[in-house]
Amino acid sequence: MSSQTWWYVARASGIVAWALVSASVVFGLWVSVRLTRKRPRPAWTLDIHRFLGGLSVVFVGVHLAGLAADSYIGFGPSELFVPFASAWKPAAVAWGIVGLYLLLAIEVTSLLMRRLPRRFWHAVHLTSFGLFIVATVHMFSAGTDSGSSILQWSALGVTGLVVFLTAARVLGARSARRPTARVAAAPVDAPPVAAPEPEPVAAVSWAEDRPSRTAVATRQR
Amino acid sequence: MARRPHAAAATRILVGGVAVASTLGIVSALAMDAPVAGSAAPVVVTPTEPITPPPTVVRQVYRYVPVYVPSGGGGAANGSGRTSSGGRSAAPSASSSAPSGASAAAAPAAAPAPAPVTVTRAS
Repeated sequence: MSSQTWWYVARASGIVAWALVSASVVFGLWVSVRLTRKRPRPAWTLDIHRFLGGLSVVFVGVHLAGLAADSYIGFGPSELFVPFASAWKPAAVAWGIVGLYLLLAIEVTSLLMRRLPRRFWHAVHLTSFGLFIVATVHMFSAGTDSGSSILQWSALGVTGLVVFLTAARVLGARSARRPTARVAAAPVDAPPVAAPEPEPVAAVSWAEDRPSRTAVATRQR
Repeated sequence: MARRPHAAAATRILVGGVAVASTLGIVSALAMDAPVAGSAAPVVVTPTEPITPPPTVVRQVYRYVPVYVPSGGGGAANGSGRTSSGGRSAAPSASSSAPSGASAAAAPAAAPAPAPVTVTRAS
């Protein structure tokens, strides 16, 4: 094992962690966006979205371990977790540290989703867009491989996909709110109609695809 | 709709395997790109083609030779009606409009001496 192996591990795991974060963002948007009005997405798609998020945390951990083990840069705990504490590219490293905290916040609130208020979870989950931007900036500002054309084209393609899916998500949410406005504008004499709750499509599909405890118990008998 | 745990597990394994394989592949690619430091095997470089020296370039040095054109006989200094300064004589004169091919003998022998200038100081 050469002396530069940990440096290579840090670089490779950083690139893969960025790819996993990007895939998780794209997959989450794809799960929540209804591009076609067909049946809801199967539950395993949301499962993969969660798995991608967890895997990105694991690879960020490998990235940090590689940086800590590398003897050339000499990163300690303060350089790894405190912004602007490192002498090596302090601004670029700070982007990565902010991204680390955002990723941890998103992952922890997703694990505690059932115990947290839905609005709070949703607000934290929306920072995944910021996480994607911060991670991309960190990769291109601190990364030694930022000059790679494969990496540049990949970032461009993923960014375009995220922008497209975000636009589709926003437009889909607007079209879903229109029936609510009509109900509000209905005459007073008309019978009250329950407005549809603007739930995320992913959560709806997850709940629909998940077998109830009664069904599982019946199957086990 | 029934849940498909096999599909979820298979996709998880696939995604995890792809991530680990990519990491190892990038590490090996980076290690192969980097120069081998401290390796025991000597590296011998042998040229595949005979080394030929680059062709020598002969530089031509142009020297600027000033050509004196008398003010009275401009335009016919080289006998072709064109001066060395690109067809323009140093000072236009009546003889510059002579047809080309005029001999140098046709030009005036000497330029007229300039008239003395008297400077008067204003009071």
